[in-house]
Amino acid sequence: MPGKTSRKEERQELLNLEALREIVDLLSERSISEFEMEKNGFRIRIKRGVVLESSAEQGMTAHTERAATHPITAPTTPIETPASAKAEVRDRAPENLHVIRSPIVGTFYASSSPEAPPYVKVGDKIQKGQVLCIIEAMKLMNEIEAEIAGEVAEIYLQNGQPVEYGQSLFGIIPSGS
Amino acid sequence: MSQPTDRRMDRLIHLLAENATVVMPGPKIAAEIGVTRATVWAWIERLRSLGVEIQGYPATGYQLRVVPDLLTPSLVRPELGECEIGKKIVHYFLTGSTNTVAMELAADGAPHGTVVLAEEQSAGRGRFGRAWYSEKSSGIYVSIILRPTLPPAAAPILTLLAGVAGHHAIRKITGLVTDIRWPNDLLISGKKVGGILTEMSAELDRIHAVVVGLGLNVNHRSMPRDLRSIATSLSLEGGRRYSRVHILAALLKEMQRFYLLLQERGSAEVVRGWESISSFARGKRIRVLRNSEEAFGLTQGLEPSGALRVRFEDGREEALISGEVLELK
Repeated sequence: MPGKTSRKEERQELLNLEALREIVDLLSERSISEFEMEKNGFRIRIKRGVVLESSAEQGMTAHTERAATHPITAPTTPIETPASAKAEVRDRAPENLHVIRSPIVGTFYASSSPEAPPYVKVGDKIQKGQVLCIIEAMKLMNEIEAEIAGEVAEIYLQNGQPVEYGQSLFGIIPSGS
Repeated sequence: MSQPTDRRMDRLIHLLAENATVVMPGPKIAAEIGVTRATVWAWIERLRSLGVEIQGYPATGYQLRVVPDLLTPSLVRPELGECEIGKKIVHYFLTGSTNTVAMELAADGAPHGTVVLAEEQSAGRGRFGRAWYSEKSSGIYVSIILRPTLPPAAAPILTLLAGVAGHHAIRKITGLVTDIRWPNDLLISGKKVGGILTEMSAELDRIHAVVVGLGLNVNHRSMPRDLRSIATSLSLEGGRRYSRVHILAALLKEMQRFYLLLQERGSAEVVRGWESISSFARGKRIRVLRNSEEAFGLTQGLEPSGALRVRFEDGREEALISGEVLELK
């Protein structure tokens, strides 16, 4: 049986939603197209529109540091401005990425059970055929396997999030690229 | 991990069952199945420990007192006729989980219709690593490998199909009428008698294999204390023991019947069948748990995909694809 949601958790969830709205507004206001943060094991990633890598489009891409190196203590912590993000333009061009997509509509699960660690984390080296996540629909558990060997560069979803058919699940940098 | 049941042991059971009216000399059995007399003795002891009643007569041989209710291939296959599901049966006295074995066999190319059975599971499991209580030779623990030509996005209907097949098989053999809780828990008087875990290996546009795993509580005389309020067995509900072989055979045949209907006519028959069986189909007040969030609503029938239409308290209508559905009493 799944655990009951405590009042405290509920309140925190609401807080996050409120904070999320603020973040999204701020991102639109400053034309920031990509944002990622991690807090208490909760990770959020927001992408707006197309990420352009060309230098002529400086200022369109922002990339915040991982929480592991710069812990964000409050959701309202200032986000890097586009100007300061210039030097941090993503070092991996998106065309390198092999994107793994969902074959069914369902729910994304990062691990085999709530207690288990996630199948993969960003930065993990993976083998072809390795299980990356589970998409569940009507109690059909679909184990998503890596189609290629490489390194996990992107995880586009959080545990428990709904998934559409064909939606991007993982970005993999193929081995040898 | 454990090995599948030795074919020769299965032949020993079959030999004893076929000659149940006579005493079979040990050396004769040994010669017929191609093992030593010591092995025959050891296997007879093993079968006795599993509750098979075998009478031993010093210097003459062995005789079965009752044909055992084991699910070995030699005892199950004669019940199946031409049924494609069950043409190949892999039997274990003990294994971790039949679904795990079946997924591995499927990856190694096992054909459509291959069935994995265990008398006992040491790590029987449901969704999200939850355990399935798998008492020795009391339940049916079966996994079926299917290789449907459906697109992966249409595969979830197979989970409802398994529930419908389970309902009909139980009704046919025991006369007991099970309810189905969306998507496919089999219930009697609100308690679970059967659980289904379906696993799929697929690419974006092609299914490699679907493994339908079913755990059915048949002859349990009692349930463990912590499960008593939520689980029951056919025997506890019907007040008698049932033949596991007969229920299993009926289950595989019903799976075959609905699988063919699905392939030929699409999901309509399965959806209609499910709606006619389940009290959860329409007008049921339910609690939905999703991602540790709770919502209340009223059921409104199934979508052709098998998704459950729900009208939530806030007036919002949704076709439910995931989540735990519980009856609101």
